[in-house]
Amino acid sequence: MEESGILGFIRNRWYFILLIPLFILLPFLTPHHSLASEMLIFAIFAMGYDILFGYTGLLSFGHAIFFGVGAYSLGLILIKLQAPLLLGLLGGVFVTLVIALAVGFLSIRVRGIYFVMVTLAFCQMFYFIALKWAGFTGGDNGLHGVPRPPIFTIHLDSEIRLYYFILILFVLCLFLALRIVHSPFGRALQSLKSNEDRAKSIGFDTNHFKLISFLISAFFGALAGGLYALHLNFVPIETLNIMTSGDVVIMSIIGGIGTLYGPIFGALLLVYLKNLMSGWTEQWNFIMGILFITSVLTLRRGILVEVKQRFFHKR
Amino acid sequence: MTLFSQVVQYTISGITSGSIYAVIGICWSLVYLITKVLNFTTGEFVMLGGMLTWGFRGTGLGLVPSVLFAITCTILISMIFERIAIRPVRFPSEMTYMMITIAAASVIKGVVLLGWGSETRTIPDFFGTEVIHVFGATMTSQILCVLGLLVIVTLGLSLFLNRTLFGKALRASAINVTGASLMGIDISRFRFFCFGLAGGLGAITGIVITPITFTGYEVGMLTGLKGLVAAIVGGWTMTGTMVAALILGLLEGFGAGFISAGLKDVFALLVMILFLIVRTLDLTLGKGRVTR
Repeated sequence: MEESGILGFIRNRWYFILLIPLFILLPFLTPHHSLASEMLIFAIFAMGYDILFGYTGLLSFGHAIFFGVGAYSLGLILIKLQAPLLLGLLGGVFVTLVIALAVGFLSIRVRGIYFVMVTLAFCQMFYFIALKWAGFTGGDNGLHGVPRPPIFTIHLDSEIRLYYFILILFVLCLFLALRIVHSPFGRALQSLKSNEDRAKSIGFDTNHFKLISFLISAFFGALAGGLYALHLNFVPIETLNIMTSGDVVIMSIIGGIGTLYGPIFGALLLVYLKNLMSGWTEQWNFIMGILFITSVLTLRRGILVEVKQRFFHKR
Repeated sequence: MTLFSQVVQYTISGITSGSIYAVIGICWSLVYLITKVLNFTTGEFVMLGGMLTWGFRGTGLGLVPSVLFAITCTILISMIFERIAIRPVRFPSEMTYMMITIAAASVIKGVVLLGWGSETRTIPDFFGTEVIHVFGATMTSQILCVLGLLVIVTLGLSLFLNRTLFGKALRASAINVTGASLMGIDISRFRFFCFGLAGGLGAITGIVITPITFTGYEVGMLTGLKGLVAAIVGGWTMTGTMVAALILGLLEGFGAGFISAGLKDVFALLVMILFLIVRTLDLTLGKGRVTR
């Protein structure tokens, strides 16, 4: 019998504690320290995306907007205003949330595949804006020279320190996400996914819930984007490209949507694989496409869920 | 150039791109209506048509055989794709299909990039490069080919769909798949056929526009998307798609001419966003809630 609520969730999955040393030692296990940071950044991104896609059932192809805008606004705040780091992170998240409010307000009204199309179109538009507004965003070259200011008195210039800073944020995000998902609000989101019309007839204001879910996942995306800018010390224009949206969708699906830990696993796995093949970046989309098609055809519910089903719940 | 001839020029370029979007939009709806697959490889087939023709010409073949080979290859690729990636899906949903086609598009793009690199390619105009003057504006014979393609495709398809038994069965399954299969129509054969037809039409479109717009491994996505916009705005019908595509093309032509050529690609997306969102607006706003 599963206990409900977040405490029950954690108590039922105490063995996750075994993963803690893994995360602490991660930068020493990867080929170079900064890869571990990148893995965690995309894990935050995918985790937030899962709240929208896995729990609310809205497949958005516009999440690169939030990742990219988060990265650009943090970069611009740090460069143009010389602001301290926390202010930069907060500012980046704030700007992104304003944009997410506008995009979300317009697009959640549209259902099914049309929602996908609208978010995809918005994403392309933001990409074009960043590309054409080169004086502000650096255009095709990306935004260079994002500084890494100290957080209070701790300097973040070494990759290891940045990793632990990101790890702390990752753990906070994970608790936040678990808290959201295992709350009555989270249940309401899941009811939207299973049957939106029925949820509406029970009396839920579905658009309201969808918008909040959209904003929550934009928040995670913005945070991840901001950290990505810090991690690279620059913002590539590709952060706004729909391929970034595609990446996060694929990470979520490969890991297993609607589980939170599935997309996290997917993100860690794919970023690691991508780095392994860094010599063949041209082939990456090709390999990812093949990987994705096979995964959908054979492991429909994602690697983690299928493995769990097949090995731990023998039927 | 006088204003009048400018207007004529933009109209010509608008109608040209509009016809292209119309044919591509018809490819999207052919597949979507029958199989409920939003086939994102449509744009890649357009790209493949041009690239394969270029590739076959590179081996020393003449223009006509390479065009024929390119079309055949694309049809085969499209059908194989349906067989190995679309049909085996367990628990199909529109979303799953869409994700698979997006991934497949990325695979096709990857293969072309590996094989032929990222350079832009072109093939020569079919009937020479003489320039035709119309009211001070200029056009090439290739543009006439594009317009001819649109006319042939729409006439051919409407004859096929309305006059032949096979076409009528196809329309029936687009209206109601379950009903059609209960009447003994073999839906799975139709899906196969639709993918092939859409692949072939896409390839032909790609070949005809290559001398005008050039081709490269990444042109498929955007061209395909604009066709999709036309299909969505046109309500997935053939006439609707054509009207929407021509309006979209003209909008792009005039927008690029009078506003900014760089923003040309944004117009289509803007049209789609506006269309989809305006459609959902509650037009009884202010009259209180309407209970459904």
